[in-house]
Amino acid sequence: MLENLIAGFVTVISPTNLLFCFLGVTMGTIIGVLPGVGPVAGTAMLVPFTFGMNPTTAIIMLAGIYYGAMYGGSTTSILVNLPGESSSVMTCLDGYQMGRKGRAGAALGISAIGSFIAGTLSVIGLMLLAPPLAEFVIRFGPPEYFALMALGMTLVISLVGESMVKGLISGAFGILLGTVGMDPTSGIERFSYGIPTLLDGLSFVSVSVGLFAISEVLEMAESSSPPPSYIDKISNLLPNREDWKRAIFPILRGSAIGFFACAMPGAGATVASMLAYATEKRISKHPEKFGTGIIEGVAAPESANNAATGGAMIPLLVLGVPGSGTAAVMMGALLIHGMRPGPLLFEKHPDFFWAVTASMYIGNIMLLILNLPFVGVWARMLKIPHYLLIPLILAISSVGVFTVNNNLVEVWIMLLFGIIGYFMKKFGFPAAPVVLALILTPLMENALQQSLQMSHQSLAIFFTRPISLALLMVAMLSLLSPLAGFLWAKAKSS
Amino acid sequence: MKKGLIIASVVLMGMSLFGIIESSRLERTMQMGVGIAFFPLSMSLVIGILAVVLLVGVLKGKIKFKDKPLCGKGGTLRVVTVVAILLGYLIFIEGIGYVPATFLFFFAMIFIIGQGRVLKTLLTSAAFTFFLYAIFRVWLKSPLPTGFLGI
Repeated sequence: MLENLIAGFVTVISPTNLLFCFLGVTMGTIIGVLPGVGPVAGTAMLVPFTFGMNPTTAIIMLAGIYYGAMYGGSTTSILVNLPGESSSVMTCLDGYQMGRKGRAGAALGISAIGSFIAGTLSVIGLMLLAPPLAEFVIRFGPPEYFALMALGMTLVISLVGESMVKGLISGAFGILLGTVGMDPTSGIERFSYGIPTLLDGLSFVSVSVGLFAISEVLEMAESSSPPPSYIDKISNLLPNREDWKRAIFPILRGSAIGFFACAMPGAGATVASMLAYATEKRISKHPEKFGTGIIEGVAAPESANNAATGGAMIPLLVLGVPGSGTAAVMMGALLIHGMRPGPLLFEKHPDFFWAVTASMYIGNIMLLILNLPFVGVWARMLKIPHYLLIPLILAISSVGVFTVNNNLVEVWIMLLFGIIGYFMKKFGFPAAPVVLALILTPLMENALQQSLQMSHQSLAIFFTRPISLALLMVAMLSLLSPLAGFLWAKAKSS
Repeated sequence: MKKGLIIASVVLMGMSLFGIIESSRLERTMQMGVGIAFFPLSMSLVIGILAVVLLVGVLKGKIKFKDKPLCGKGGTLRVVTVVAILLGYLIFIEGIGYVPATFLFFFAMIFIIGQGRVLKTLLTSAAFTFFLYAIFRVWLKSPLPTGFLGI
């Protein structure tokens, strides 16, 4: 393992990889700082930039954007009481209050240091857990893969969004979109209506940029709010001894919660940070002080949302099942680069996995250096008015999507999905299941066809193999759990 | 919002019906596994059923929704303006080329949404156009649409 990690470091310290790791974490921090542009939108928007790169450099940069956004999100939470992205919502509660008490520096400092510790611990967790898990999953055949993808999809559907019905509709819509184009087995056209662009299926870049980036820009355009005012007195970034004493265990607990919560598809960094905050409040001797500006309330959620990035790499890289919107976008980017995430990735491209892991260590150090001394620079980014951000994001998205295949039809598709995404947001339909299903459907369909060929068209193959049966049962449970909860609550009340 | 969700349910039912009709036209052979219509047909049916569940849930008040208007009057106008300018950009980019179309796009957006001064808007638009050209064309070497001006 150590040899592999050293080889990974050797790959990362090449000037190109270091440069793109730095660019990734810097852009990620900017994305995290700017309210309205979340990590999913940012990653989707910047995927076209990676097409000239080799896959390792591309994922090093995209992963940098992902965890960089987690760092950046805390800045706006603490200085403006406005989360840069959803996983920083919990940081607002105590972070902003600390800022109002003149302790913004300490809050930003513990947030950056906690994030660094959590990010590093989660990379160690990824390094230790991923190889044995890959060794186990490599024995999976098509039925197990089908069941695994079905489980990944149901977990994401059941855990994201406000309503299971809406999540299911989004998932089904995504599967339907995933069937557009030529059928992988028979080569027969489906729903392409003579449009050559649709023969290869709907471009994941067009759909994800539309659903995430364009829809967010339209929401931004809707509000005419001026740039927010922020706490500009930032001093004493390094926490004192008392701060350390109070924050170290919340950081460690937050790291563990974030990592394990996100190692399971569906949970995501937002759920992880909420869980970490709730845990600290529950075990605290003074729960009433949470929300008044205590350092534990910043350390725990910030550590959790950063540890989540390492955890999220496990389902993505080892199982080939992305657990969140950002991971789905990264999987799509990997597929475009000809890399199929999953256990075979370890066998065929171990250098890739170890280079990405090593880059996360280096990226976390870069973020610590970027975030502590330059926090004032990031804070000033909040002054960028919407009327400059909106056209810039729209133009980068449009030109980026065009450059994927030099095809303007794909930009029209992006715009269409931008409008669809805007209305989905309005009505509370989650977008992540759509992109996840769009990416997984061709793979699922293939696994289903192969399984049925193995069993001479008998569906029993899914129920006679123990792993496949277990995975399908968990998938069913995740779908039925809200119904069971509802019936339980009804029975209890009566 | 309630009205919006009812409309969304009806749109989803329409989409489901369209999906069912279109999927039924596909060959449903069992010779190659479950056939190419399996996923689209089953998902269209699922969407239809869930749309009915959503509609009933909204009407009976069992599905939570925000009790506020979908979008304020000014907000709607701004969203429509942004979409209209983007539409114009996509229409003109092939004809007049990337550089002039992008410059006009930035100018229209900043001038209309930001209600800025002409000179400042002109300079900002030129700077943004150059910035994107430098990234995509010079650095990433991506081909960009060229119109009759060749740029």
